[in-house]
Amino acid sequence: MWNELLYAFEAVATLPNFLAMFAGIWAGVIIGAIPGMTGTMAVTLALPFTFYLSPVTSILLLVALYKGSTYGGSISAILIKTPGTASAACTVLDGYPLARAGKGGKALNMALISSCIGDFISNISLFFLAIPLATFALRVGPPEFFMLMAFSLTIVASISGRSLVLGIISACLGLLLATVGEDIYGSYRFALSEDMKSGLGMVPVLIGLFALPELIKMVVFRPEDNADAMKLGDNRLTLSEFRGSIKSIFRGSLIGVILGAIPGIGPSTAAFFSYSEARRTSKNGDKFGEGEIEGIAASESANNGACGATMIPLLALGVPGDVITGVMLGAFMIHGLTPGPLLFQNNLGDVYALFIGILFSSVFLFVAGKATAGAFTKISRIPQTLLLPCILILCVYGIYSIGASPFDVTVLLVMGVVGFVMMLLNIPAAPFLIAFILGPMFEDNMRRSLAISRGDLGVFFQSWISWGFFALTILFVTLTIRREWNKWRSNRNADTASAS
Amino acid sequence: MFQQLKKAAGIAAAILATTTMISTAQADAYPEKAVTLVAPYGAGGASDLAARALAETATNYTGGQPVVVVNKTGNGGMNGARFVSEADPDGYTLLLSRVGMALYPAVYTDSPVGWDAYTFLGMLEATPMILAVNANSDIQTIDDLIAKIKDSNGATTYAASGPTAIDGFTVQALLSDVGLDPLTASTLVPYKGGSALAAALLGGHVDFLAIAAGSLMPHIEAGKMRPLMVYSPKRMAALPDVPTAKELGYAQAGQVGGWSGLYAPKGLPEDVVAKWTEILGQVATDEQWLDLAAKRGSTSIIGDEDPAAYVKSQFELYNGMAKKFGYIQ
Amino acid sequence: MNQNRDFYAGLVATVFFAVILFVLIPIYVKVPSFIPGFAPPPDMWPRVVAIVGLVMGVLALVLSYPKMREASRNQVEGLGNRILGNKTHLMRFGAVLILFAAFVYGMPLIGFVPATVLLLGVLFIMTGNFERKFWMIGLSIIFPVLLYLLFTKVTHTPFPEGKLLSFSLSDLVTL
Repeated sequence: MWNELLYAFEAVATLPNFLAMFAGIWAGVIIGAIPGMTGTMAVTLALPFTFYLSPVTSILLLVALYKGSTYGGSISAILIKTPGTASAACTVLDGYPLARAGKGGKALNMALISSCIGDFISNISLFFLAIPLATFALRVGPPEFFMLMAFSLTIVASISGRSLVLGIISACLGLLLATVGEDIYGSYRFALSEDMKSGLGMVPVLIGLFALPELIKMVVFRPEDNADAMKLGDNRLTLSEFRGSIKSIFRGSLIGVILGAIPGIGPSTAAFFSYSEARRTSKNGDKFGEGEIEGIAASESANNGACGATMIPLLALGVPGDVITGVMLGAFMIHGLTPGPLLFQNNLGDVYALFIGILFSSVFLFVAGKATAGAFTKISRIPQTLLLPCILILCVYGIYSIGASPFDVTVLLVMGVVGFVMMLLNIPAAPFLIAFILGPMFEDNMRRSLAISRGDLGVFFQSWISWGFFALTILFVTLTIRREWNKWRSNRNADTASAS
Repeated sequence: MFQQLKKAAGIAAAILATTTMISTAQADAYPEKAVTLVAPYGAGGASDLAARALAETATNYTGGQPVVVVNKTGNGGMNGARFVSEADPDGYTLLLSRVGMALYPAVYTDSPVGWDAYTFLGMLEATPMILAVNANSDIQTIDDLIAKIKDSNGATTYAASGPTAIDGFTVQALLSDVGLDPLTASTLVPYKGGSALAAALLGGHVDFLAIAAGSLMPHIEAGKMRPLMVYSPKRMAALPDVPTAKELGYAQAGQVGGWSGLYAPKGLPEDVVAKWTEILGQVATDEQWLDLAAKRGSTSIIGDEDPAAYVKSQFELYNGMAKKFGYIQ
Repeated sequence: MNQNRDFYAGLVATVFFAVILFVLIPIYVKVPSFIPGFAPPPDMWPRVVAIVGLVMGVLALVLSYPKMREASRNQVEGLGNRILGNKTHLMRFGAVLILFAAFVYGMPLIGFVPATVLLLGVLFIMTGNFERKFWMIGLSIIFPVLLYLLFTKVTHTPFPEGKLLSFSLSDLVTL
């Protein structure tokens, strides 16, 4: 094995490989930072180039683009409240308040460091745990998936903010909008127009809900501090802040690795999961959502952790978990390599070369991220009255270019208005988002499980994975109800006391 | 009323557009700018890879103008199809069509695009489908499988993209051929996309499936899946021992299979059609094209079939089955 | 004031989910015959979600009621005064809606680039801050054009050219 490793190291440590990776990561960071341009787009655009590169170099290029864009999404999430990629949606919740308070640089640094650590941990696990993790991941069938999603949806309770009732209303809206379009059996729901048959796109909905309300608010209320740019100042990440978040970073990375290895889950869900875990366990939990640096650490470590782990089912089983790894599978096949157990038998050298190359990516990510984030921080010096309208135009162009579809732009604008109304009514946006992302997985797996069992509910309780998540869900729901009850009672007592 | 207005406006637009085309296209310089090739399904899938392979190869013969692939997904591929069929017939918007473009109108009477709403430029490749079970399964042959389906009284499960998708029709056609009820004899479990389908079989969550060869070959080669039957006109070179549905005497299943074609909006000028016929002729013998097709598990069929007649026969095949299975009353 | 807001939120949610449940689902969620009986039909999940939403909306209304009474006694101004009561705000919001609608319907006619130039220009004007006039004029023209060039070069996106313009051009060519 050591000989092979050494040989692989020599094979991978070539200039073209390093160049491809560095260029890929850098391009990825920039593409990810542009709202509407996603990692999928970056990888798809690069696919034709890989026809002319060696197999290892081309996969390294694609992986680099993926990782770069996953981090890059956090830059625009923090600075302009626009998640560049869906997986950065959670970073918005704490990143933007920090940026408004003049701590944008600090937030970006935290995002970068936690991304790199998450990335490194997932690379290591790719190296050592690919096969066992992949075998575990395959066992996660529809019933287990359903229970996992049920548990994930209880996150709504912890990100609802002031009022749980309003949080659930927001989540219901998200769940409902996610059902628009074709369902898994191919029948249509809420297809009010021909365009709605293909559903509402994730990116336009996300960006519309987060970025646009800020603009509309500015135009409608014209607050006084408009003309001012965001304050600048606190850019350094202190050691004590880092130490305070280190637990969340490691937990986030592990959550990312495990969830990323299960085909079909992906970085956005991992980020939400990690965020809510951090919120539940952190001593600063109550400050999450108002600009808590630990929140960024939790979500960014998890999305980059998941990013490397999505390679696990692809390499070990030949099963791509999402669109990006699907494109990578295409790249492998173009070069006559078939990912899966056979790859480990026939092309072990290539596999090791790939692993070693990917290990380097964390370092490249740090360098490229540091350089790019520094340049992007200057955005916060632009006055809001100029910046926010320009962001809208950028989003319009980015979103149109995803599918050359005017309907996506319409969705963006309509969701912006919906988001503004929700803002006025004090309905939190975060539960909407998580519901919109998780809803389809929850519903699809419920229907799949019941199809397999022919309507027998027992299917949900056939493995210890399902039981585990079921118990956690029940536990958490009970705790939430008790908390709400106590809150209500104490409010009532306070009221009667003040009335008398 | 509105529909008719829209139609009238569309016709007017088409007439206007063609007249301008005639007046401007005399320069005989097609293509003058980048050609957009719409892939109607997601990136990384079979249609996307076919589109990219065609784009890469065809770019060598377009006089330096790039062929750019755009993924317009959704609504069973009809989103991309509708985009192309409604585009200006100037030869700069083309569609990498799949069997879905004939299947969807055959199953849904309210399809947004008819099967013949295009100018057919040519058929590109045939992609076989494979019926497979998990390697750990006790099912060894197609007869074992059918016996098990009959015994289980509907409890066996198969994965497919949906009842009216091509990978649902593969199984339903077989069930119908052996005299079972195609809708209830075995339970369909819907998944989205070839890799999710393959993962469902690998993980043992369903009993069998019959989907595109490209998604299954890696797992068959790795010994994780057992192929029972191939949906293709002749045996696959990579699987010489696996019989085809036709050989086994399945009348309907024997005709089911996947393919890619190249479509353009209706009313394409003659010179553009001629140009593409010429380009496809060159692509047909291009090493890169043949090589990329073989790697995806497909065979190039450029020039083998008259596209309009072939697509028509496919539409009628699926339309007939849809009526028989009860999707269309 | 918060309680007052909760009241409106509850009201909006109740009405919205009621419309979904009683109007949209029966019309727009069809249950095809080919889905086997034991698998949950397509309308099951939207129904469940809409019912939960409806219950939560009513709950929000009920919970805000006691505080509302107290609030009305104290004459606390609520959201109603913030947006409905303030005509200027309402008009500006209306203007935003009209602007967005005009963009959606006008874009196919006048083309993507002119539409975005106009959208950006109008938004700049609507911010009501004219300290940087030259920036505003310059940006509203240059920024969309730059983005257009970037995206056509990088992703080869076919941006709509605008029927109105191409028609007038084609008229010139044919006539």
